[in-house]
Amino acid sequence: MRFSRLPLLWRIFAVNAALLVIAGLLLALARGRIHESFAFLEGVDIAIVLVVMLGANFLLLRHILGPIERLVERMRSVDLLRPDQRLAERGGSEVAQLVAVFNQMLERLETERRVSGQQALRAQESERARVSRSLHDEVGQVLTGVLLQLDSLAGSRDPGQRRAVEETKRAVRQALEEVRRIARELRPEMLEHLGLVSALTELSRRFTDQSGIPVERRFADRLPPLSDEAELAVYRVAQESLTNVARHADASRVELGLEPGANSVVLRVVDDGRGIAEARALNGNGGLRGMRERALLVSGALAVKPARDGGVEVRLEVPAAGD
Amino acid sequence: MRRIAEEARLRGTVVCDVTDSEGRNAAVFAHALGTRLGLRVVLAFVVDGVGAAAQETATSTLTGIANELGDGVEIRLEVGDRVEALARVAGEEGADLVIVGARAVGLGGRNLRCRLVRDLEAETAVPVLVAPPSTRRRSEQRLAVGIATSG
Repeated sequence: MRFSRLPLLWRIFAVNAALLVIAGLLLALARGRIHESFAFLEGVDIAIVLVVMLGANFLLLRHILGPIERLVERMRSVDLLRPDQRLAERGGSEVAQLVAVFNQMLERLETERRVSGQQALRAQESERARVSRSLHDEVGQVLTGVLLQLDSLAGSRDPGQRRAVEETKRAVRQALEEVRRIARELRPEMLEHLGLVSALTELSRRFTDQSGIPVERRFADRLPPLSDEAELAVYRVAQESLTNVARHADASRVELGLEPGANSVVLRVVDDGRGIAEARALNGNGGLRGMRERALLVSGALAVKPARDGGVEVRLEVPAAGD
Repeated sequence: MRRIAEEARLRGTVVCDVTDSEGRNAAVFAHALGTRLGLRVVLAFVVDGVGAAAQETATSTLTGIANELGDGVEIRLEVGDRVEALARVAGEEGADLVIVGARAVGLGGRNLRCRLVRDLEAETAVPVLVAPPSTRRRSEQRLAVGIATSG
């Protein structure tokens, strides 16, 4: 390993050690010249003093430079999606100041990220709503018009032509259904009109229809009220979790639950599939980053972890409105 | 509405570190506290490395303690730096409290050694509580009774 690549602590210690050893040798040589009877034991004394000085030097350096190494490590590993990671302001006053400034910088970055993230998510939701409306009102209308026109053509006497029209109608109906499905996924109207429990019930029904995997719903009778943003975060995390189950979990059943927490609401999506390691290997982060982002923006806590009986558990806790 | 809030207030979360030799004692304390206050208890074991043998041992320790304490206890096995992992679990689980074990040191075991607390306190905004070591004298009241009967 090259000297310049060594940690600062070891570089300073190596230079100090070299200087002290040279000084010790010079001292021994000088004593040897002055007193011809330079004894072996005197050499041992010098060696012991050298070791003690080097030890003290190392401890002092570690005390001073340790926090800087931790700071560098933290700078490398810091993740703004996991807020509140701070460093203890220890060490000499300059180092403590440096750590304090770094902590303040993290604070600012987290705040700015939260604000810009909220703006981005609002813009995304608003764009989704616009696309959903366009799909429903424009593309949907056009396809319905095509269906009506095909109906009028269905009376043709030519059996080949009738068959062709019927096939085209089937294709158009499929396209219309697909457009409606995409529009629903883009904009959960049920959430706006009937609330979170109804929206999740509808989401789980659709999930079962599409994937064939039964969902056991466990919604508490009474839940603390949530803000619109928190409700949307819960809905989107449930949607993403169910999508992951359908795509990667190879599960035979899913449990979807809403329960009261500590002045909060807890969403739990638990499957009995192949587990988190295999799911991650297949799916990378499995939309985890997006879920974390949503949780963070509503001051929620998201855990994606192995379920007790195998499979994966996604747990999102969001604070109640006004909490 | 007030009743809902009161019921909800009883469902906080405690994350308990069971990584070292005092882990079991801390887990018993966390469980007693959780039972008394209606808190969800999550036991966390942090493995420093990805070796299969270490993870197997950790899993067996973790499930052993969890089974001993009962069904309501949840478990998390994490890999990496202990302080960072505990802070991460506390954040992900929305913990209200992190409990860690301590060893008694000094004359007559009067002092507690728990360097982890100092690092954890800086790493997470969640309060950290030190479970006293099992060798400490217990009072005859409240939580201590729970610990004494469970331990």
